Amino acid sequence: MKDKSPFENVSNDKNIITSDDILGKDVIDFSGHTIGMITQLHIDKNNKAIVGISIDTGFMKPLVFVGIDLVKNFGVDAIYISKTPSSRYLGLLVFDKNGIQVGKVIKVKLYGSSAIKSLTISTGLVKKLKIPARYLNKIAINIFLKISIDELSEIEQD
Amino acid sequence: MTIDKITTNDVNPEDEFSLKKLVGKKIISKSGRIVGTVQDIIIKNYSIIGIITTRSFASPLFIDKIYFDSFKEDAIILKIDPVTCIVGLNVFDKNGRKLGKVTNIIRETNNNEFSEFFVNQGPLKKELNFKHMDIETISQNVILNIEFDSK
Repeated sequence: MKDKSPFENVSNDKNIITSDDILGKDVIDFSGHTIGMITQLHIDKNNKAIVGISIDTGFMKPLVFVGIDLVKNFGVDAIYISKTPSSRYLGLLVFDKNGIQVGKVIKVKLYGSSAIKSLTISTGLVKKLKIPARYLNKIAINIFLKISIDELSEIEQD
Repeated sequence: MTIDKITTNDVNPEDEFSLKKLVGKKIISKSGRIVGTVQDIIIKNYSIIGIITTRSFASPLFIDKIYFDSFKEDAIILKIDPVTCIVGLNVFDKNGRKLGKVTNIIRETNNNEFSEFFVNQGPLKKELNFKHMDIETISQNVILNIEFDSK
């Protein structure tokens, strides 16, 4: 009887995917925002298991590592993750409570790995402003503050 | 320059809101999306009833003032995300399959709701039709709560 190829079962198993099926795909968070594109798979060489993915979040933006436990599923055209990396907020517009555009997010500081501690925004060519999380009203496609642009000058800067 | 007045009320026009300054200002949706800019302000019976906004590659849009959250000289913030804004967004099914872009929505009334929408899969492919209840979430993309079978 002809021996079965060890690869035969694997190639027929629809639950098995390859790096080609993952690399280059969009990564979308739970709220429907596109985070970036997968560029690397990270593999534990002792356990021979994928431990995470690296995401290219855009031009001049940092690569983001997301642990495999945060990957909800590997889709045909996109990968869904269950958490929003802080890099998602980079480049978002910031509006004051009256809708005046204040600037763009250039840096995010977190408490540990989750809650936002502060945002640093670029308000002009050179000028930057650090805004503690307590002044943030809403974060969605862009960011709304709880205060007006005039009140921003009262925030203490480090 | 001070403004001469003819009025029986105690009013200082310099201290009041000038509608002329609003033209050209941004209209921002509830989630922070820039919907467009103010093209015109519509008045009925001496009261503002809404604004008309210009949009890229689409006809102007009238937004009733009942949808205004904040109405200032510098910008208008809406209480809603206008349903018309989903046109052009990418659509993914619940398994991460990219289906295409929203091309059209079907609205039974002029309020901020839609019942169905159409997705363009690309050239030479059939246009897809989904119901509003097929949507899981809408933000930068439209994510469906169903699996699409391409067969």
